[in-house]
Amino acid sequence: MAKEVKNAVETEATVSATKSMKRGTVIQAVKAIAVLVCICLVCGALLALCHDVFYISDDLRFSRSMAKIYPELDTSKVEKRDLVTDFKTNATYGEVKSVVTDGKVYIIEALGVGGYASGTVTLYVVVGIADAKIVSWAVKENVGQSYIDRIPSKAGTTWYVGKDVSNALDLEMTGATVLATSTAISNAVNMAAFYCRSALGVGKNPEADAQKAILALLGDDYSSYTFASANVLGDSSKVDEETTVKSLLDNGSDEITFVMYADGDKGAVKAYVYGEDADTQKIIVFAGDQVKLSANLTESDELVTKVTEFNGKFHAIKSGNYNGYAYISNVDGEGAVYTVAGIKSAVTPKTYVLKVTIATDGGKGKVTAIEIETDGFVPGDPSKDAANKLATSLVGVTLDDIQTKYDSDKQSGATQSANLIRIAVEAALRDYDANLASNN
Amino acid sequence: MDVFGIIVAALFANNFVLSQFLGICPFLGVSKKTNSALGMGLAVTAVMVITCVVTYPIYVFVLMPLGIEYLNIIVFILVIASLVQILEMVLKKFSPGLYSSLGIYLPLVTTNCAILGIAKVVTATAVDMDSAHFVFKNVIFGKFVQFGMQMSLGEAVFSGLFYGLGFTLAIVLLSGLRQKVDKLNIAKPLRGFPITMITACFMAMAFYIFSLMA
Amino acid sequence: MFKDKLKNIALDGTVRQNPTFRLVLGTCPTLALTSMALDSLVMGIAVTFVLICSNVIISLLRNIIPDRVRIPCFIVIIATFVTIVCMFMEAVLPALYESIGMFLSLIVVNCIILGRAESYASHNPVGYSALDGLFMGLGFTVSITLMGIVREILGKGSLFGAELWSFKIGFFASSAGAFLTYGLFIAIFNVCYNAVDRKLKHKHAVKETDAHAEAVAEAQAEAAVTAKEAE
Repeated sequence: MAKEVKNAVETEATVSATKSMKRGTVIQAVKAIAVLVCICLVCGALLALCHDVFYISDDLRFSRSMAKIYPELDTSKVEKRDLVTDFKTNATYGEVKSVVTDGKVYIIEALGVGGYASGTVTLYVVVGIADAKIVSWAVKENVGQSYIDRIPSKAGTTWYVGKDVSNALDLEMTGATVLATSTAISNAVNMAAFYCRSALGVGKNPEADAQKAILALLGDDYSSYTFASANVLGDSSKVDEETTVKSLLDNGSDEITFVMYADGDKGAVKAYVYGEDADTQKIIVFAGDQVKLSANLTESDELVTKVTEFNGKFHAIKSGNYNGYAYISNVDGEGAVYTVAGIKSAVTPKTYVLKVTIATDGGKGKVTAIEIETDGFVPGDPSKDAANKLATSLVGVTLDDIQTKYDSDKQSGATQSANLIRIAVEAALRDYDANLASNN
Repeated sequence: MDVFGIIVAALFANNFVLSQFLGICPFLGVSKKTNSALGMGLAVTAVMVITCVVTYPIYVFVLMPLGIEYLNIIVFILVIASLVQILEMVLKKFSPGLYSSLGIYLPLVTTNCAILGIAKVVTATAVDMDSAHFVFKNVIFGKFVQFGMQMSLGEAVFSGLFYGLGFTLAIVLLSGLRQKVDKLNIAKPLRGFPITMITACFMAMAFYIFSLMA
Repeated sequence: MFKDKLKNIALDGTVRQNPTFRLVLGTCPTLALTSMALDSLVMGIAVTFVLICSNVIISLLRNIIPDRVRIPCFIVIIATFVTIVCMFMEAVLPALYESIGMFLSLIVVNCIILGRAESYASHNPVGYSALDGLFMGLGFTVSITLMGIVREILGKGSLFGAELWSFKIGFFASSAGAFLTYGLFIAIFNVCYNAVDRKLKHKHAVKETDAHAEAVAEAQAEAAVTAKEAE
C-alpha cells in the first residue's frame, strides 16, 4: 500500500524531469508559463476589483476591534487621544498605552504590573464619561500569566464594574484565587482609572483640585510651583504609620485630607488641606514666613494654631532622590535629645522613630548618639542590621555634612531605611541649629 | 528571547497538530510507519523554516509598500510551492540519499495547512498591533502570539523550527502508537481512522498538560 | 442518463464519498471549528462556495491549462476565490470573520478542493463539475455542522450560541474532545453506511480517486480498506 503510494508520489514529483528533452519542449514550457502568468494576472485583477468592492478602511477596522470590547460603542465617532506624558506611567501600577473615545466612553488600554513571575496583564478598560464609572474591561494580552484562564469569563463584566474612577489607585482587588494575575488586573484597572481622573478629567480629583486651590491662595509669585504627587499623606492614608500625623492634625470635626509640599525659587511651601469639597475646604499654607488661609479660616482659629504648631516640628526633606518627611515629636534635656519620626519615602510609606542626641560643637549641632526606637520595616528583616549600621554611621555629623555622609540611594538592600533615617536626623539637626540661632 | 518558553510552547503546549489543528491531513495520512512519519515531519520542519524566512520579507517589503496585502494568500502559496520545488530539485541532484528519505515528502508539504498557518503567524507579527488582527491572533494562536508580538525575524525562524519539530514529534509518536494499535483486535467499525483519531485524542490530552505548565 | 448521473453525483458527494467521514479530507477545519455549530455551518458554506466556483473555472479551463503547471494553476484559482470569501466575510460579517478568519484562509490548502479539482473538474464538463462541487460541499457542510451541533451541546451546553442548559462537559470543547468526537462520528457513519448498503444489496467499490497528495491518496485508500473490512 505505502509502496504504491510512494511510487505514485515519485512519479508525480519527477514528472517534469523524466520527460525527454524533445524539440518543442521549450515552446511547451513557454506556453505553460504563459498560461500560469495569465491566470495569475486575471486572478490578481479580479481580486483588486473585489478589494475595492469590499474595501474596509483601517479606521473602520479599528473601530470594529474596539466595538468588540464594548459593543455599544458608536463606531462612527471613534477617535484616538494622545497620551499625557505626566500621567501615563506609574512604577507601582503600570502604564497607559492608548486611549480611544466615542464621546460617551473612554476605552483605555492599560498595562498592569505585579503579575505572576513579574509578568503583566494588559486590559482594555471602558469608562463612562458622564458618570465616571467603570463599565467593563477585557484582557488584551498578558505576559507569563499561565493561570489567566482561571479568571472567570464573566469577570470583565462584573469585577470593578460600577466603581467610580475618582477612587483611582484605591480600588480594591477582586479575585484572590489567582492572586498574582488578579493583582496585575487590579493594577491595570487602577492605572486606567488614575489616568481617567488625572489626564482626562473624568471623575473627581480632590488632590488636583486642592493643588489648584493652594496655588490660587499663593498668588502669581508661586505660579511656577507644582504640587504634582506632593501629597505627604499620599494615596495610602490607610497606612498605619501615618495615623500619628493624622491624629496630630485632626481637630474635632476637621479631618486632615492632604499635606502638601513643594519647593522652588521662593523657598519651600507647605500646605495643609482639610476636606475634599472645594466649597467647604479649609486650607492653611506656609510659604516662607507667610501664612495664607482660605476664606473660611481666621488666624485666631484653634485649627490654625494647631497646624502652626505642627508645622514648626514638621520637616519636608529631600534625601537623594527621595522626598521624605519628618516630625519631631519630643525634645528632651534642653533641646538635646530629639525623638524624630522619618515618615515617608517615595515608594513605600514607612516610619522610623529615632532618638537623636545632639550637642553643640563649634557653634553648630552635632549628633552624638542615635538610637532606633521603631524600625519601620518588619523586625528580623535583613534590613534591620543594615539600618543599625546606617544609623551608627551618622554619629558625628552636622547639618552641613549630613547630605554628603552616605549615598543613600546606593545603600543597596536598605535604600528606604537609609533615606528615612537620614531625613529624621537632618530634621533634628535643623531644629537644633534653628534653636541655637534664635537663642543667641 | 524566551528560548525555553518558545521551545515548550512549540513542542508541547501549542503543538501545531494537537492543539492548533493545523496539518492534520499528513498527521493522519502519513503516520502508518515511523520512517515515513519521520521523513514527513522533517520535511514539514524544513518547509516551515523556509516559509518563515521568506514570507516575512515578502509581506513587509513587497506587499505592504505596494498596498496589496490582500494578495498574500496567493503570493505565499506560490512562493512557498516554488521554493519547495527548487529545494526538492537541489536535494535530488546533490543528495540522493536525503532525497529518498525526505525529498519525496516535500511537494506534499506545500499544500499543508500548517505551512500556510505559520506564514499567517509571521505576517501577523508584521501587522500593527492596533489592527483588528489582535483578536484573531489571540484566539487562534493563543500563547504563541504573545511572543509573536515582539518577534523579530530571527525569533520567527527559531519558533518556526520548533513548531516544525513539534509536528515531527507528534507524527512520530502517533506512528509508534498506531503500529501497536493496529495489531490489536478492535471492533470493526473503529478500525482505521476512528481508532487513529481516538489515539490522537489521548495524545492531545497528554500534550494539554504542558499548556498548564508553560 | 442525466438523471442517473445527477443521482450518482449527489450520492457520491453526500454519502458514498462523503469528504468528512468517508474520505477524511479537510480535517483541519473539521477538528478546529466544530466546537461551535455556527462556525461549522459558516465554514461549510464558505467551502461549498469555493468548491463550486473553483470547479466551474477549472472545468472551463481544463483544455487550456497545460498538464505540467496544472497544480499551480489550480492553487491560484482556489486562492483567488478563498481571498474573495475572506474579503466578503470581513466586510459583511465581521464578527464571524474574527472567529473563523484564520481557518477561512486555510481553505486554500483544504484537500477537498484541490482533490476535486484534480480528480473531477479537470476532466469533466462544467455542469457536472458544478454539481459535483455543490454536493461535495453539501456533504462537507452537513457533516461538520452535525459534529458542531453535537460538540456544542455537549461541550458548551448551547446550540448556535443560544444557551440550552448549564450542564456541560468541557472535554468535548477541548482539542482532545475534537479528535474523539470525529473518530466516533466516522465509526458511526461507517456502521450506518454499511448497514444500509447491505440492506440495499447494492454492491459497489468505493471509487479510487487519483488525488496526488499522498495524504489524499492514503486517506482514500484507508477509507476503502475500512469499507472493505467492514463488508
